[in-house]
Formats: sequence, structure tokens, C-alpha cells
Amino acid sequence: MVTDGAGEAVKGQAPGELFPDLSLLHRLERMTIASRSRVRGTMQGKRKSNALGSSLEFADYRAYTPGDDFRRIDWNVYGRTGRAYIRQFWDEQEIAVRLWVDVSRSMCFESAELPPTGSGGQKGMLGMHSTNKLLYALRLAACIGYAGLAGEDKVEAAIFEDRAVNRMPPLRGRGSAARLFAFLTQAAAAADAAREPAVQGNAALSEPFRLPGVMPRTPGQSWVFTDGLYESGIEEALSALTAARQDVVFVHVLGPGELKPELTGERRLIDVETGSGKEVAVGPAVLKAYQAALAEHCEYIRQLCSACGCAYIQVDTGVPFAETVLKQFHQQGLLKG
Amino acid sequence: MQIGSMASLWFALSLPLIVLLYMLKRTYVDTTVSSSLLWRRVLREQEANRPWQRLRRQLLLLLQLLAAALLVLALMEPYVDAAGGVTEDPAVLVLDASASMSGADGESVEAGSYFAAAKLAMKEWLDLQPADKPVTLIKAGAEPEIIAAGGQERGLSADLINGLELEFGSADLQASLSLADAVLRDEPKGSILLFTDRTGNQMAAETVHPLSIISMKGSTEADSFTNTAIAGFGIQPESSVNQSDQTGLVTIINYGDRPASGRWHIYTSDTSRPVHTEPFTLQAGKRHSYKAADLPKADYYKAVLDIEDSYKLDNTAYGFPVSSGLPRALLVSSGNLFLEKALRLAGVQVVLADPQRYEPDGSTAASIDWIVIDSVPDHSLDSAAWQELMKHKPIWRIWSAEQPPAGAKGIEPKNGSIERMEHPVTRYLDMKDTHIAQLAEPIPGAPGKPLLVYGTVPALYAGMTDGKPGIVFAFDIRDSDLPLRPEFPILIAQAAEWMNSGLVSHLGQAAAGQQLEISMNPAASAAEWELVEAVPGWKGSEAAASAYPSDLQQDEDGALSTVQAAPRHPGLYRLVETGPGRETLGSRLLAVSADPAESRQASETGSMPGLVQPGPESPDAGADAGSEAEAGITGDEGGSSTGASGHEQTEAAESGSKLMLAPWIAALLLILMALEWGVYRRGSAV
Repeated sequence: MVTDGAGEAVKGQAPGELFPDLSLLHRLERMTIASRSRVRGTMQGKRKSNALGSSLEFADYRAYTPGDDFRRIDWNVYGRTGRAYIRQFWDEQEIAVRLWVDVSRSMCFESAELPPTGSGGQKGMLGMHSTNKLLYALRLAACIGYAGLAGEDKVEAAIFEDRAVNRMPPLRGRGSAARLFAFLTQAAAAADAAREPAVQGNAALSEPFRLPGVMPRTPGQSWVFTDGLYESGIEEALSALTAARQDVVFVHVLGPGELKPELTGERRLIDVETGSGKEVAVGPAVLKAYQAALAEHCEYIRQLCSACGCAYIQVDTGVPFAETVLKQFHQQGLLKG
Repeated sequence: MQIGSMASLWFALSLPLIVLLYMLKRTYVDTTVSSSLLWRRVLREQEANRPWQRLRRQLLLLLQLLAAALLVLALMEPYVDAAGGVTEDPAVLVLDASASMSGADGESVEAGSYFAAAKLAMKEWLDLQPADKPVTLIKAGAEPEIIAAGGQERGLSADLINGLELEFGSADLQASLSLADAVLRDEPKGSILLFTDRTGNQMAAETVHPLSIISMKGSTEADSFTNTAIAGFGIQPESSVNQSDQTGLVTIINYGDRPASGRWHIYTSDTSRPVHTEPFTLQAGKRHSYKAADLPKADYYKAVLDIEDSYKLDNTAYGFPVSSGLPRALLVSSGNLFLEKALRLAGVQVVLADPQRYEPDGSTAASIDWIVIDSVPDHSLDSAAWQELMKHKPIWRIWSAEQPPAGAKGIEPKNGSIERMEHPVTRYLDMKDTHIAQLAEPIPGAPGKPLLVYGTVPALYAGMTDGKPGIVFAFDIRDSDLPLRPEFPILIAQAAEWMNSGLVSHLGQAAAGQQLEISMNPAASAAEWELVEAVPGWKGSEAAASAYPSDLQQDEDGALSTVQAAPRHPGLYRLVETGPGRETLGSRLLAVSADPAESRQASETGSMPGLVQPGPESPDAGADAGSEAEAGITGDEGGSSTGASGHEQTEAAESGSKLMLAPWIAALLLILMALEWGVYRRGSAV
């Protein structure tokens, strides 16, 4: 159900930077985040829980024992048999949706030679191009978060970079959407501003998840938005999250700069994270080899995910994110509704 | 494919230069990427940060190298033989070596003569031909001569052509062309090139194979072809009485088509300054004889024309004085009317001398040419004056059987048979029925062989002794009925002629290389031509002079052949005969001139003589001077066009034999440039 109040509240928090098209939010309100297993949350929610509780969904009968709520005695059975049975129902609980957004330099990187794609190729939030991976990841995270909030789930968001994690407290209810958006926007901008000019070395993906207190204590669904351009640590991070009883959705965000680099001639390729240069004469053969390497890398991550029981989805920032959310996520069964 | 200019290969150094420039240039464009993670994996194998590896994927560099290589190739002037490996069509070069080729005009003046220019043109032509083209060279002299036969290997080199020499006789071009046809008889595609100073119209040349006439006559300006020649030069005594003064008769002819004027001189053998000089002016085609009187006596005379014309060999002529009138003989006899009358009848001035009363003195030797001693015993001539005289003069000795020479005796022949040997003295004689009563035998020191044998006894000897003619009669004329026979005056006349033969001091005129019949001194074991003076006016006279003295030919027996070739270069020569001890036996002068027919040839400019252009010697030449000039000009045009077409044919042959590849390379370069531009625009390499 869409409520105007919630929509207005979101608008009041100036979500325009994240959502140039607010109609998307209305469509997200009708969607819920799919959980692949019965959840066990702490508070009442809309999710089927593996615990019995109060809901409309019948689970079982059991003999009445003193102390039970007599309102649940099935009087029809009592009338036929003379014995009191209690109808049991599945409980419905909330799930904790945790959003992990990678704000490392490679995510922020914006190629100077990007062709204008997407929504007119205009500069969006933080002066970023619409195909910017960070912006795209933030928008996706906001969408998922909004869908979670609208689905009465608990939403937590965190941005991580190298060895730092910036978390926000759990949010509930559609009214908290504005806080979520604000956090995402400000956190990304703060991370961008506070970043040191040259960071030596490319930290492993697992580094931020090893920080104390980062791992969630309750089960839930963890969405990791990253470009996956890590030399190592992907497997460890996935293992750590899975071990924390997290249902992990690995959103592999890649831009046109990675998917279809349009480089020619002699180039010195400078890694934006390490600052190291690589001289290469780019030709068709090199590009072909690159595509092979990229496919291999993606396949590697996909296999890691399937080994850990994680969902893997690769998104292209060249595709309008509304389409990604409404079609790709829906088709993959990550969003329902 | 063959290469025209191998030196251009040096331009190939530009290729490594381009590569070096590419290696040295730093054209990396700094490009930041989100992560070099994937790139590192890509480049792990094909890491291109080493210079030579950097060149690997450079399409632009490859194209530039290709372009540079093509440019170098184009500079090397490659060509392919159009025939494509098939053997080249043979060619026969015919070089006119006639005397008129020594002339020069227009462009050939620089080369020295038409002949030199023709040799140059021939060498240039050869340079343009493929190496495997069979080329035959025929030199058209008096007889065609194959200088180099064209087999598969070309034996014709520039040295061979340089070694060719002009022949100053006439050239039989038709024979040479026939020979060229014969050389090419199995080669239907063969061609003949004729290098000559004549033009097509001048030769009714018919050849089976295509004939290109390359005329060396450069310009067609009328005054380039003037030729004035000395047509004749004779020396005769002023009168039969006074023989000390001579008169020279010079006939000058103007072969040209415009008036000629100049001076003519006469030189003698004794002076370097002309003894006679006179101006002359001749209308076109006219001839005139001039007389120079009171010339001093000399061995030879030289007439020289002082005029500028294109053919100089005929501007000099040599003349010899007629040998001093009638031969004079000293008849030493006590009286022999038959003999005296017969000698006078033979044109001999007879000086009678009775040995009893006459003693010769110094003036006697100068006033007589030879001596007839008729039946005078040796002891009558014992005196030193007689011995001195007899030593220097040819002697005709008539022995008497009654007073035979020492050691001999008079014998009567056993029969009246006559054996006659063929000899100038015994020509036309039969001697049948002649009776000789007695003869002296043997005759010591008899010259030559017995010419007549009467009843086994030699009766007549004739021959040469020490370069002097000599005759011996072994019988007294009074002892035979010979004087009564009609053969007697003939015998005496022929004997007198034989005695006169030693008097001749010159051999006269001869064309260069002409075969001469020369009566040699039998005592001479060797003879040689000595160059007295070369005819001025042609290049190479100094070089030709080095060829003399040249020895005369000898026949199989080692004796001098009586048929000798005149020297091949125009000039004045002396035939020097030497005996076995290298002593000089005598010398005679010979004037060698170029073939007189060439004089007219040199002035011909176009049309065939006698057809269009009236001959210069024709009687109406003077009257038709104007029309003649016109005809000459018309002939010029015809001649030059023929020459031009000859050159065109030559060029066509050259372009047909070589297919230059440069245009194709240029086209390839253009395509390459377009490709390079496309590559550059797409930016597959920076």
C-alpha cells in the first residue's frame, strides 16, 4: 500500500539526488524483499517465521494444556470430540535487511571517457555520472532499503571502505526512509571527502568485515553492493557473513568502464586505488583477453557465491537503475510483488 | 624482377630509423582505471613494457614501414622484362664505316665525327637492352665484317665498340644488310638497326626484317652539308723541253647546295709554305679547274683546300710529277743499227758511246737512266769511271759468243728448239723459227732466271739485281736472224720497259684499303709502309699514325706478295723495301685517299641522287641551282623524318623490353596511405 504521507516524507528529505524519478518509490512500496527461508526475527513482522505465533496461517493442532490462550481452542473440534485442542498458527516476524555498500575508490572512480548513457548522461549526485558505480550502488541500496522499510522489515545500512565501516542504527517503518537516504548520501560524500589522496595497497574485501563488532548478531539478509575488484578476501567476507547467519545477496556492480573498456593505443593504466601504472598497447587482442579475464573473474565470484549459498547478481551501471531494480531483481526473485 | 639502381638500397636505412623513432617516442596516455586488477591478469603474458614488444601491435608502424620499403623499392627502379623470361628478340647492329662517317655536323661535332657519335649511340642503345638480348654487330666496310656474333651470351661490349675503326674505302651497306638478314634468318622477330650518315631515301635498302635507320646527320641546316672537294690534282711538265718546271692542275668541285669560296694552296715536299695560293669561288654543284704554273721540281705535291666544310678528307690531294720524260739509255756499242733503231722506236733516248773513245764522267750518271752494253768485252770497261757508272745504273748486257765473259765459252746450240718462260720481257713473243748461231755459256751473275732456252742453252735472262732491273742476252744479235723477225722491236720495247721499271719513283694514287698490284724488288725480303703525312682534318689521325710503319704481306714462300692492300688511312705513304741485311733497296710514294664516292656522299642530305636531286655534275646543274636548292631542302625534311622515325622505333623497342614497376608501386603507396589514414583515424595506434 502506498501512502501519500510516506511519499511526502521522503520527498521532504530531498531524495531527488538519489531518485530523479520518484515514481520508482511508489512501485517499490508494492514490493517486498524475498527471503529464501523462514526468518527468525525479534519483532513482529510480515515474514513467515519458523516459530509459531499469531498469524492467519494455520500450522497445527495440539492438545490444550493449562495456561494456553483459551481463545485459540478450536471449539468445533471440542464440540465433536469433547477434547480441547488448540489451533496453532505460524508466526510472522520481521527480517533484518542489512545493506553493505562499498565506497572504495574503485567504486567512486569515474572514467573520463565514459560515453553518455543512461538518463541523459547528466551529472547526478555528488557530481557523479549516472553510470558511476557508487551512485548506482547507493541508489540500489536505497531502493532495497526503501522496499524493506515499506515491507515492515528492519533495515540497517553500512558503508565500508578498506578498513573502515560506517553504520547507521536499525530503521523501521516507511517514515524512516528519509533517514536512510540521508545517511547513504552523506556517508558517501563524507567517505569521498575524507579519503586520503593515495592509499597504498588494495585491501582485501574481508578487511572491513573482520573489524570487531561489525558482524551482525542476529540472522538476516545482507546485501553487499560492491564491484568485486578485490585481489582477495571475497571468499572470506562471504564466509564471515554466512557464518553470521546472513542470507547474502552479492550485487556485483560493474560499469561500462569495466565491462566494455573503450581504450585504444598506448596507454599507461593507473590504478585508482594503488596509484600504480601499467603500460599497455591496447589492441583488439588485448581487449579480447581483457573480456576473457573479466568473465573469468565474474565466474569466480559467482561460484564462490553458489558455494556459500549466496545469491549473486551482476548489474551494469549502463542500464537505468529503475530497470535493474524492477526487472532484474524481480526476475531473480530478490524482490517480490 | 630486376633492379635499375642498386645504390638506392641505401635509402633502406630509413626503415630502422622509423623503428628507432617509434621505440624512442613516449606516447603513453595516462589513463586511470578503476582497477588494474583485470589488466594485470591480461598483461601477465603479453606485457608490453619492453621497447621491442611495444612495436608488436603497432599497425601504424607496420604500415609506415611498408610504405618506406615501397618507396625504397621505387627508388631502386625495379622493372621486369616484359617478355617474362622468354629469350629476347635478337638485334643486328650495322655500323656504317665508310669514309663519309668521318664528317661531323650538328650534335656529332662534339663526338668528333658521325662515326664516334654512332658508336656512342650504339653504346647507349646497348645499355638500355637486357643483358640476355642477343646482339650482333656488323661493320659495314668495303666488305661486311661481323664484329660480334649474338649468341645467348652477349659478346658485345663497350670495349669492342670502342675498338672499331673507320674504313676509308667505300662501304657496301647493301651487302651488310643482306648479311644482317642472313644472320636473322631463323629469327622472325629480329630487327636490324643501321647506324649511318645516310638517310633512308639514299638507300634502296630492302631487308626482310624491320630496319631502323638511325641517321647520324644531326641538323638539317643547309650550310651544314657543304662539301667542296679536290676532284683531281695532276702535275705535268711545263714542256717536254724544259723539265725543271712543273704545272699543277687542280680541279675543285662544290658538292654543296650553296656557293663556296675559299683558297687553295699547293705545297711541295721540300717546303712547308705553300708555293702557290689562289682564291676560288664556286657556285653550287659547279666544278672548275685551276692551273698553277712554274712549280718547282719536287718529289711530290700537295693541294689543299682552305675552306670550312663538313667533310675534310677530300680537301687534300697529292700529286706526283710525271717521271722525267723519255728514259735515256747509254748504248755502249761499237755500232748496232738494229738495236739503236729498236730502242728509239721503244721511246728511249739513246746516247751512243764507243767504249774505245768514250769515258764516262760525273755528268753521265745524271743524264742517263740505264746502260746497254752491246757485245763489249769486260776488259774494255775496266776503268774506274765505267765501274762506278755500272755500279749505280741498271745494265742490259749483250754477250757475244766470240767474246764470252770470263769462264764461259761460245757454243753452238744442238737444235733450234725454243723454250719460253712467261715474263714481262717475253710477253707476246713466239720466237719460233728464230735462229741463233752461237751463244755464250755460262753467264756469270746473270739476273733472274733464263727466260728463253735455245736448244738447251739459256739465251735470255731478265730480273732484278740489287733493286735494279737487269737483262742479259747470251748471244750477239748479229749472230741471229732475230732483228729480221717482226718480234724484234717488241722484244726490245719490252726489254726497255723492263729497264724503265726501276725508274718509277711513286706508286700513284690508291683508295684506302684498295688491293694494289706492286712489282716488288725481288731482292727485297721485307717491305713496309711508312707514313709520310696523314691527311689532316679527321680526328684520330695521330692514333692512326702510330699504326705505321706496317709490314707488307708475304705469301706462303716468305716472299713479298705482289698484291698488297693499300694502307687503310688516307695520307701519303712511302713503300720502303729492304733487303735481307736490312739495307734499304728503294722507296716509292703512294697517296692514299678516301673513296672519292664518299665525297659526294658526305654532302648528300636526303633524297637519292639522280631521282629528285639533280646530280651536281649534271650539265644543267648551274642553270637549275634554285630548284636544286629546293630539292635539297625537301630531301632534308625527308631525311630527318626518317631519322626521327628510326629513333622512335628504337624507343618503342626499349619500352617494350622493360616494364617499369614504379607506377605500380606508386599506386600501392596510395592505397597504403589511405589504409594508414584509416588506421590513424580509428586510432588503433597513436
